[in-house]
Amino acid sequence: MTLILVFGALVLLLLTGIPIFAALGITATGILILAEGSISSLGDTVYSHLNKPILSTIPLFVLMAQIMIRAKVIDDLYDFAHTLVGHVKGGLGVATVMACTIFAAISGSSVATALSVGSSAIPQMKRFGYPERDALGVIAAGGTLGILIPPSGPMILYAIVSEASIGALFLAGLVPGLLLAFVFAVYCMMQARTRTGIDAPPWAGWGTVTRAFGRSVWAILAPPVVMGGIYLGIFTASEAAAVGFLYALLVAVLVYRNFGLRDLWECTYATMRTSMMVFMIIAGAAMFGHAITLIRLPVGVTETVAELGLGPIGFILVVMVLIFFLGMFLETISIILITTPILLPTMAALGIDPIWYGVLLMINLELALITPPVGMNLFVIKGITNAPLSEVVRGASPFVLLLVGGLAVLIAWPSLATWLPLAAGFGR
Amino acid sequence: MSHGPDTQTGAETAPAGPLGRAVVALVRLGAMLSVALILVTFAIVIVAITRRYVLGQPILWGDQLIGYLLVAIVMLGAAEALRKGDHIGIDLLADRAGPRLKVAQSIFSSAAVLAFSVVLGLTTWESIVFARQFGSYSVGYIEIETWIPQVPVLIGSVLLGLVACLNILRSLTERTA
Repeated sequence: MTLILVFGALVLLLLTGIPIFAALGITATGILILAEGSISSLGDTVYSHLNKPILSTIPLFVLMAQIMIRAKVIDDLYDFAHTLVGHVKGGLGVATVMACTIFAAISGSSVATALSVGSSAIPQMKRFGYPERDALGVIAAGGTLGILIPPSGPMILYAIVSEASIGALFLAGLVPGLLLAFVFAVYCMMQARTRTGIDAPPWAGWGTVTRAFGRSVWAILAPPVVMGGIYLGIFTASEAAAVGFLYALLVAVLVYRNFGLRDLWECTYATMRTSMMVFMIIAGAAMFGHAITLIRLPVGVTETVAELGLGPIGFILVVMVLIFFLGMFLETISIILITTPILLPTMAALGIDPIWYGVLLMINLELALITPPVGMNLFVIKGITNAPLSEVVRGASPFVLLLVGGLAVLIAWPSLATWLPLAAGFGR
Repeated sequence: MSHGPDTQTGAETAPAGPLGRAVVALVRLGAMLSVALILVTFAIVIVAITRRYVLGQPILWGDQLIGYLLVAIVMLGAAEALRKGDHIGIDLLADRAGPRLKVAQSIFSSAAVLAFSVVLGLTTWESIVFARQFGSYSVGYIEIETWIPQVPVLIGSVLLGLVACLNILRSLTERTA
């Protein structure tokens, strides 16, 4: 009952269109006034949740991606993928998925991935006769890989809330992320074969491919440079993010030679604004988490689940359905920050691996990005193409089914996510 | 992270008279400090990496300082993000509202942010006063009075509240016009 009241109040406030951080903070204030008669702990709560050095990874990864986009390093990435596989029927779709996969491993953001790859790929795909709907769909879906393939901003947030190892989570997301990219690419080729009027550019020849590779090598090298240190256990996540930032800066200044101090300032300003959206939701969610913990809501959920006799798989299935529906209305960060503190005690009681759950959550959040009415990637694609939203939704809908399939496979075979972190020595 | 302009709330706050311009100037100053502090954070991490892996002399105070800086980065930048309409809200219903309802929604939204900033500001003020009276010092490599790193939360709350007030004023002016 308490759960319904609390969520009912929160959802009502959210539907009024007020900023999510304010809705979370006000709900928390209401709960505390009713339950405790005092809100004096809220200031300290926000301060202690923001005072976490690990959070510095968020602006640093965002800044790295901003620099790579501004210096046009990413344009060369799509150019290489396009030159390599574009000549095959459906190859431009595959090239788009490839570019999304590599950029996902640089940016940690689905929206940034869709935005930066989309602006190069959509005109190319349309030029070679791809139906607009197909082009929009593959970008919307390819962009979602940004939150599954490490580094991933939402994964970092989940790791902070659940106290799971960021390195283990990153590794756990790698295989499912690459598998999904492969499935997306195969689907693009199959889809292209059913369409008439799709042309493929002629094979450019190995010389052109080699030159394109030479230009894009700096973008391709970024993921191993950034993530290698984390995977080998040398760098912490924030150190890796700073190294990534430094790498992007050096490439932009020394290799591309199109990046000055003014660019750095403007990229950092854009980073500050992007990060504020996340950080203020963290502040609001900290208040909300504090309030629901005081009224023992997570414990109540655990007790209810125990009474219902749901096993780990039953619980996961119920949670996944719930998050799928939440994802239609809430954006990813809020879902992570609102649901994780409530679910963690129950997951611990049921013996559910938080790393496995984290990857399941990310795939479900990928769905959230391309399911209406609130699907961030749908809006981004609509924004850069001026296409009708319904067309973007239709284009993305086959990928929704593919992602649901991916989720089911990962529920059935958790080791797809968990074996790599275990093999790398995490969790021993 | 997943954001898009379609679900961002509000729009850039236009200055309303000299007072409005003063508020905007303050908020922009906070934003510039926030941007500078992001770069300082980067510099600290890079220096820490160099000292740890190249010179074998790790910086012990790095993480603690970055924690303090992050609080300042967030709170000094939050008002600028609000002014630019960056904070995410769910505008499913607001988008379908008519012009009068849209103004009412905008006022309600800004009032909610104002309420948030008042709660955060007042409770932080209480914490600061308590910490000063108690004379508590931080634990760790940087030994400072605990109220000092909390000050940006107070400043940020005031800036957020000021931008929310400006937004309310702007909405009321639009309504009258």
